[in-house]
Amino acid sequence: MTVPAPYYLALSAVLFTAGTAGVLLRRSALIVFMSVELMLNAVNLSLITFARLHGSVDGQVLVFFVLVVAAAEVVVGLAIIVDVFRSRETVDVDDADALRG
Amino acid sequence: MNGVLLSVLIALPIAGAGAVAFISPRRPAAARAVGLAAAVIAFLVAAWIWAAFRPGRPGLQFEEHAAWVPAAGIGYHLGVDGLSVSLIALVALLVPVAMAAAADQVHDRTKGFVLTLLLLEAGLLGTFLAQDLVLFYVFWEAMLIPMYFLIALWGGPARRAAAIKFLLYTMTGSMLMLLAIVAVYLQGARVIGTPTFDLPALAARPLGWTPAVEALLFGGFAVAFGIKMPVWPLHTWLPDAYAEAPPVVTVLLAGLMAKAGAYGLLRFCLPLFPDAVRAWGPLFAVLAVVGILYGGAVAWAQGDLRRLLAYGSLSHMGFILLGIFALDIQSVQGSVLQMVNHGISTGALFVLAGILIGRTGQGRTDAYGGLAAATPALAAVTLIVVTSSLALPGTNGFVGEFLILLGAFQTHPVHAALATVGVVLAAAYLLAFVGRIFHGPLRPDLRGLPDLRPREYAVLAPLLALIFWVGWVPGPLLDRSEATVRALLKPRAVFVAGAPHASMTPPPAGVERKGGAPVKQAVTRP
Amino acid sequence: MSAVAVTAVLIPALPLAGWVVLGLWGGRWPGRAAGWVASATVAGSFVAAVALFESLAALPPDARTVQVDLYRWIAAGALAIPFRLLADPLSAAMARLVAGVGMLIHIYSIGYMARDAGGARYFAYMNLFMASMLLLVLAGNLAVMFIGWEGVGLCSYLLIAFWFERPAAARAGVKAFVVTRLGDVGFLLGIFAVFGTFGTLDFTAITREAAARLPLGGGLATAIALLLFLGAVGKSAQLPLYVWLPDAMDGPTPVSALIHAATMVTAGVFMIVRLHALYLRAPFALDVVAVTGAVTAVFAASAALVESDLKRVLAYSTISQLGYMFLAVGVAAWAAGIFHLMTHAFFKALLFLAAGAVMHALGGETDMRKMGGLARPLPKTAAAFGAGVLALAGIPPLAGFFSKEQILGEVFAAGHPWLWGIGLFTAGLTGFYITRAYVLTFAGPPARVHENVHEAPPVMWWPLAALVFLAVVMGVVLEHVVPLAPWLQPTLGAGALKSAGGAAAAAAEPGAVHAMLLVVSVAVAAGGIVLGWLVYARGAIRGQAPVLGTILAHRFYIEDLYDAAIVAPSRALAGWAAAVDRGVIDRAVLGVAGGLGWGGAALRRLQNGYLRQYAAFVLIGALIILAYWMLRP
Repeated sequence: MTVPAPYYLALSAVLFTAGTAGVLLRRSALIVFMSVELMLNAVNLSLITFARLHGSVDGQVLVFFVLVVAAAEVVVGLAIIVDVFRSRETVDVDDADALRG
Repeated sequence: MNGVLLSVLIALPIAGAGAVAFISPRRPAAARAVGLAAAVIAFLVAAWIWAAFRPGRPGLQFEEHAAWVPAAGIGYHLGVDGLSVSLIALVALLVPVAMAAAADQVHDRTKGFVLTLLLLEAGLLGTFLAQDLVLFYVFWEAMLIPMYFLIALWGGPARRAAAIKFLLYTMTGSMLMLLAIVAVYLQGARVIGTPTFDLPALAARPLGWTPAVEALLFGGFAVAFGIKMPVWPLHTWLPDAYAEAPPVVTVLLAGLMAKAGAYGLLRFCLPLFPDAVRAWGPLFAVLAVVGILYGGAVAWAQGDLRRLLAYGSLSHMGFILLGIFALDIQSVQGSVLQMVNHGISTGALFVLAGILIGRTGQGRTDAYGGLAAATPALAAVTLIVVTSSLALPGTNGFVGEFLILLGAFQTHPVHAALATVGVVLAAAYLLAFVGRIFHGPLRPDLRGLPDLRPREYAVLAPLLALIFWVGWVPGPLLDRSEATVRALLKPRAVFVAGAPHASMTPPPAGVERKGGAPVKQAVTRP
Repeated sequence: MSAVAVTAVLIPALPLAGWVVLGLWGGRWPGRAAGWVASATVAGSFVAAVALFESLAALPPDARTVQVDLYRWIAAGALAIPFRLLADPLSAAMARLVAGVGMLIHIYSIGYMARDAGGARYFAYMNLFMASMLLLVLAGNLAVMFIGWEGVGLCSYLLIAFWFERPAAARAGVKAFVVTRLGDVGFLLGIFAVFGTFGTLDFTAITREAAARLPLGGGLATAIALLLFLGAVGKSAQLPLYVWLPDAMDGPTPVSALIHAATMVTAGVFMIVRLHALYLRAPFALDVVAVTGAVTAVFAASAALVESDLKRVLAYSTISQLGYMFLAVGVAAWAAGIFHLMTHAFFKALLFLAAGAVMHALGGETDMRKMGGLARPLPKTAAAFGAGVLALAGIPPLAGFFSKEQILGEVFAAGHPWLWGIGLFTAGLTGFYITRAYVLTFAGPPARVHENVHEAPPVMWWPLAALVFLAVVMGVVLEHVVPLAPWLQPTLGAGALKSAGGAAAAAAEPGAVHAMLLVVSVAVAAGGIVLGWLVYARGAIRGQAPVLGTILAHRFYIEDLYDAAIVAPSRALAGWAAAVDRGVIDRAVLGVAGGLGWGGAALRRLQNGYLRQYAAFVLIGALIILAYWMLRP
């Protein structure tokens, strides 16, 4: 038996919401970062679902792009977080407000 | 060779800037020498173009046309006609003059200064040569950036504020012009069939605007050009910029950049929006007269050397504006000539102001007095330049202002009469300028001030020569612009894409003259 | 080129070359070399002018108008202005006069300026002036005339302000330039209107076509004539633009003699005569010219009555005599106007140079109250000045008598008894004030002991003597020996015939009337002299007229009126405009910038640097977009 598409989409929505909540509510930069990954993967899930639904590979191709971008982002993002931690000894995002207008 | 001459002309200063970039900042003399050499070579090329330009033809000469972004109809289209041929010669003359004058006046970061000046020259030349709206816009903005840095990095105490004011003012105008350019492009694509930014192609036929839309687009261009000139009341960046920029940069700001505005009105507004120009011309004629009188009056009340000259320049630009919008062959011819004249005489005035300020460090006129006793040659040269600025006959200024006023009087007698009063104001503020600085008892602290040095003579000599040459033999300049101006004033006759020499009407009789040399006539006895 | 063309070009070209040479190198020459070179160029001009005159005289009268085209000067559209000289009887006579008097004054200047360090500069300016003035006289069209017209104005400015370290002189120079430029506005507009009407600026074309293109007494003709006259009013120091001339006396005295008496100030008269055909189409404008001249004549003569500065007396006298000339041309007596222009050039130059000799002797003193009794140490100068006095007052048979009689006769014959009366009254005033000047300077007891009072050196004395001779005989010569009016006839046409000297006036009037006019006017002039002598030399009549004296001393308060009504408000207006520029226009621009800045400051509160708030904004934005797409109809 196959799981119907709405289930995947529902899971995707739940994951996305969880990620969004994590980004908005958590203060640790690492957690925020992981929440972003969660959101990206939620989107990936729905892309694959639609690809399967429409019988097209476009969505799957797009997922590869997202994965590549996410990998790059992890590299840069973690480097930034490490750097911030080195200089400030904290990864609390609310402390990093140097760009306040 | 002729096929790429204009590109060579634009490339020369850029190449010079590239060469200067490789010189060590610790060798300012070398940077100056290389920069000057590039500027002089560019001048020789421009002079050759000027000499080889054939008067009596309304269309473009030395034309270069290549595709740039074919999909969008953007072309690399250069060309020179009667409007621009003398102006590019002026650009190519004033830049080396300013650079040579800077040798005595700008001592810090020389390399960067020379480099920026050369980039500015390239931008100016491109602005006067571009025949494609996008290309023009690119050059128009490109000359803004070096000028911003010249003011902001080498200027006086309030240079930052002046530079930002100048930049924001001009950018505002540029934005409006960009919008108008896009609108012209879209409409042109609809009417002509192929999308193009090519000016001759767009101007070749009516684009079928409604009067309101045409007026709006004309306004977009006119505001951009009006800010650059400047036209009253868009002028308040001018006193700050002129007074804060180093004097040699003001030479270029007043002598060349202001001309870009007037040139733009003639080059773009008249062919693209002929009906709007005729409908709104009277408004601009009024603004011109206000600018003439207002600039003169305010100049009279200034206590600062450069602000006095700045407002005087505003007043003089009013004459050029009046000449353009009087839409009479004499007045427009006068305006085209006066653009060159104003560049020469205002340029020379600011060179002299730079010499004075360089000697004493004082910008206020009351810091001077009786200098004619200490520096007689400087006084004499200033007097000659002032007579040119006063438009006394025998100098270049007279021919231009006489033609402007004479032409304007035929179409707008009241405007012309009021503008003529501006001539008296010019006498008042310019002679006040001479009087405060050179006349009266010599101030003790100015005793022993050195007179003109040989290098300063060399800088001023070409300008003085031109003042008299144009004053007595304006024929070569007037001949070069006559056919173009005539075509410009005739609705829709001349700009045919791709066929620059094939004007629909033959040049009028009497225009075709050999080389523009003065015609010696036999003595006649009636 | 024919001899006429060559000489016509040489006349202005020689002093111009002198200016170039002196301006570039004159400063390094020793001693008086600059003065001699300058004088030589003007002498060359004079020779050329005489040659021009003679070669024209050799031609038949109706061939005496020769146009010399040098090159195409300004051309644009329908406008084509050649650089054209016009050699005709009028310009030849004027060129001869200007170059001749100029030569004498140049030579005189060599002595006068010998002790001044700026000699080369002085002579360079003087040569430039001569070139401009001769170009003005020889011009073949209005534009070329305007070169000369403005050139003499520039030189006037430069020479008045020659001693630039004196603030008064520098101010007087600027005043002269600006006030005459005020008149030039009218002149320029007149030129433009002439072009609009005739399509050319050429004098011969204007003369030829004036009748065809301008309806008699029409508004256009009147407007053109009055606009051009405004230029003449400024240049020739007539009411109300006379104010610069008295101040111009701050310049060196030979300058006053050459520019502000003999030549430049007469340019306005010359211009009107040159354009007489145009003025004949505008009778109302002619009336304005005549009335302006008459009023100026009597006004300036009365101002001279109370002036205590010797040169300023002569300046007011010049204004007054110029008024006579305008009176003459105002009644279309062109030849009489030119006649008086010439005699006046001789005797006024003489008076100024004699005054210069006095100043030379007294170390630059011009205040007559500090003079007196100078006839004893300076007999030759006193005699020369005396000859000038008699010539100016119009005592026969000196020069002034003939020309003034001709003007008064013409005015009377033209049917303007009131103007004639004013002219006659002015003649009396003239005799009075010039006698007063003579007496205060040369007669009576010395008011103050001046040391080392000496006669002028020969280089100054001989030009003075030549002018004495000219002032004495030229009236007779130009009236009877080589009559001026018939000579000018080819230029002036019927206008010259009308004023063919006393003979024509006598023909127009019954002999008895004419003789009576003559007797009356000589009697009035002599009466003025006698009265002046009695009052100032003998002290015979003592009277005080404090109110009148005060009014006269303030020149009817005209200059105060100028300051109050024009100069001060203009300055205030300029200051006000400068304030508006900073306070209103620039503030409006800065206000826009400030408003944008305030908006930016308000919006920047949103950028608080909290990452999570930014993310919330993203979420809200996404929701809004989503809502829009879902809810739109």
